[in-house]
Amino acid sequence: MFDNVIIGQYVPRNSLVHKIDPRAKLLAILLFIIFLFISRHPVVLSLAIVITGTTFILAKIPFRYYIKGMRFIAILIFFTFLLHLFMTREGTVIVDWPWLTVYSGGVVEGSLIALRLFLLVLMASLLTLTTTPIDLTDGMERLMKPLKRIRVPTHELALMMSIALRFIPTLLGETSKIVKAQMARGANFSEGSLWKRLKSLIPILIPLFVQSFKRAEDLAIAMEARGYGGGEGRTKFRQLRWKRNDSIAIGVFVMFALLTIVFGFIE
Amino acid sequence: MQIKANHLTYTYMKNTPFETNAIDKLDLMIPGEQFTSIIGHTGSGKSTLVQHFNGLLKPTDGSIKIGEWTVKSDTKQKLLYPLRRHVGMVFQFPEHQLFHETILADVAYGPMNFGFSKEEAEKVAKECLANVGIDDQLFDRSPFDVSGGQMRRVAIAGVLALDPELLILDEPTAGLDPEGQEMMMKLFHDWYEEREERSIILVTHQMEDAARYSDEVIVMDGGNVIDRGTPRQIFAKKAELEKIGLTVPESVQLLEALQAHSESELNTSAFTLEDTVESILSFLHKKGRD
Amino acid sequence: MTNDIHVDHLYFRYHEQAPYVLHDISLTVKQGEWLTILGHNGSGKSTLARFFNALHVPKEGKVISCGIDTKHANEWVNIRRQVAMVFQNPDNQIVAPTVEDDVAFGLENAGIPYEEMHERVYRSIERLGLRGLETQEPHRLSGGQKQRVALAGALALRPKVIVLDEATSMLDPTGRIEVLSMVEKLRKEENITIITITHDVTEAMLADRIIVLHEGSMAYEGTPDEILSDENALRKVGLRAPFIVQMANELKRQQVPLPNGVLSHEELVTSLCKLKPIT
Repeated sequence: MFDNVIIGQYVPRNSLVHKIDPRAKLLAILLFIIFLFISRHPVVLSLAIVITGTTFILAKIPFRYYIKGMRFIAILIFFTFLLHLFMTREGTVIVDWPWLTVYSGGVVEGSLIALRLFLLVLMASLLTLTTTPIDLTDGMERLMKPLKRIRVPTHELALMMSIALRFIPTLLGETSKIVKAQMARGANFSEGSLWKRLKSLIPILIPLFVQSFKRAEDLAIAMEARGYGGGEGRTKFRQLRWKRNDSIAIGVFVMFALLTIVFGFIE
Repeated sequence: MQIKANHLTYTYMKNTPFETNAIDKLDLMIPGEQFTSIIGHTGSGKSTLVQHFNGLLKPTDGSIKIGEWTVKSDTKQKLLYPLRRHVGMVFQFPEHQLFHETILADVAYGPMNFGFSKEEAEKVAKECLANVGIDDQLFDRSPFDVSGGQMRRVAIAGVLALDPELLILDEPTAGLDPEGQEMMMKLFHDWYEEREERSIILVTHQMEDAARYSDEVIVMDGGNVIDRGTPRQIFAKKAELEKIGLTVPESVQLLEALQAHSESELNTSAFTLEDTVESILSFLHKKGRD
Repeated sequence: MTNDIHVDHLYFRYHEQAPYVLHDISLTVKQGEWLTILGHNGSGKSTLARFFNALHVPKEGKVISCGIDTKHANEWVNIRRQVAMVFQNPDNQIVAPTVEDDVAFGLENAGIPYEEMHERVYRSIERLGLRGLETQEPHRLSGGQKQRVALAGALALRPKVIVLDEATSMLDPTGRIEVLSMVEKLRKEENITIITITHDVTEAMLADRIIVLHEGSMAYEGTPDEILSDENALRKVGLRAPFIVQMANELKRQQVPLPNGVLSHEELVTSLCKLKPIT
């Protein structure tokens, strides 16, 4: 049932985008998202399309992996488009029926928002498709490091995330096994009233909790035996090395940000 | 209960980069009313195969017939419930499925799923608990409050409470100490002997158990059946078994070593201590080469 | 020869009113030795093992690990670096999401500088035959591979002692052989003291010395020859003698004049061939 889950949606490929430092990727995406919504100048928008398109091609990820995650988002984007199409009352009237009026401004607004959302989602999927969850965690931990000064437990948060990543597949496997064991004893999860269905989950949830606590206990002892004593004085095996390509990547996105500001003034 | 697999294929994670065929176009018939063991290396597909026998998995392709039920990829879940009433399954570490407040209620869970009244279910549960050697003083205790060995026996009682015709055992003795393993296998064998129409299918890594208890042994490798026969026939093929990462029972290893070293013929298919001793004694009494 | 572990009149119970789980245990483990603590499930053997690396600390009695009394809380981390442990459940002791990260975990805790850590991690991975699996996720590994990852993590710490607490009991036969042959190799090539906790008599045959634990007390102590050939004594403590021993004893009962202490197939086969009348 859930055997062999893929965590996140990482697709291993040997591409330029895969090799970019996770910190660079996170920063770049952040810049892109913020500045994508600042200017609506055609030059800026075409540049955004070019950047997304180039990254997309460089990442070497087959298109079908995007479609999987996109279906729901596509509906969302479409509704946002409709909303803007009908609600905007600017420009000339294009359609004038008794029950519906569409202005030219609506078409522009709707298309603009749809394009921006589409680019944004594509970029965000590119991030998760080309970066392993561990690298993402690692990148986030490093970027959050300054927050340590205001007592944010960055090491603990990162360790929690990494242990969660480690155990998600194990717990899913466990769940699948318990579900099967109870089904073998005649459990029926898909029939009856809502109440009955909720109640039928108890024979799954309780063993799962019991097992998880057991695992947590074992893991705590194992960590203790391996000399874990908090983040103090700890060194790191994962070293992120900032390479020239990372600077170039960030450079491109900073240029994009600057251009949006410049064109923002021109408007 | 007879089982008949027809071109059975099962694919894990279809349409992902991890897609693999756990079972590949398998044709197989296992007659009812016998004790069958399935042996094979980890990953040979044996656990996946037996989960088709009570409809926990549906074939990706092909079909499987269990008694009067036929299961295909498009068979509705609903039709599989009655099948599970007749085919019980004990998983590896079955104690992980315990959940109720009391031992008695946990064992009664299965029968109640199949429409028994509370009284009927508890009556059956009590019988089954007695059969697996759980004292009545423990019936009202929490299943999490007894020893590991007892937990496993409670879980097994929970499967036997459905009074299945066919019992599937997927490495039921894993993690037990030798004494526990011996008792557990005896318990299953006694259950099997109790009634004519009962069958057992045992998935195991313990060649000694497969040899000692089964009428027939099925050997799996790479998602398919590569050999089958009586324990005597199968465990005479040491070299073939070793090639796919399996061994023969220790008694056979010993007798074959003796045969090779002494260069004389002797009966090497002995699976119990008594038979092995007998084989050695007759070897000693027979005259050697001149 | 120096002693790596020294246990002196150790008693243990979980609280004041509870019965004793361990009862007057005294033992020493010599440097470079392989000791097996044998006992059935619930005999107290795993509890005892946790005293060796200060996961438990004695209230009654004394435990000295690598020359340090385990009662000093500030020495615990130091002791655990020298007495590494591999646990029973392969799934519940791997902390990190990939093999190499997990092997590094103990070294990170110990604050080993990056260059050295890197070298030690890959050396351990190499030693345990895990090359090619460095970035693999733990849930895609076999049981035997997972336990080898745990061993690699232990080895990377360069410990004096490795304690295997039923580390093979959840593995299939292939996994068991895989792990035990690695343990033998580590002992030979790295001169690490090995303590295995088990109920498996065939595993106990690999040891230099066996201590049998029963109901929290030391029942017997001796070489594998002495301990494993006594079928009745083993039965009394809920264990079974190895098949080969049962075999030899039964043959003796049938008037076959076998020598004492037959423990391996080869020994039994050669003895039997000698007895065969050649006319």
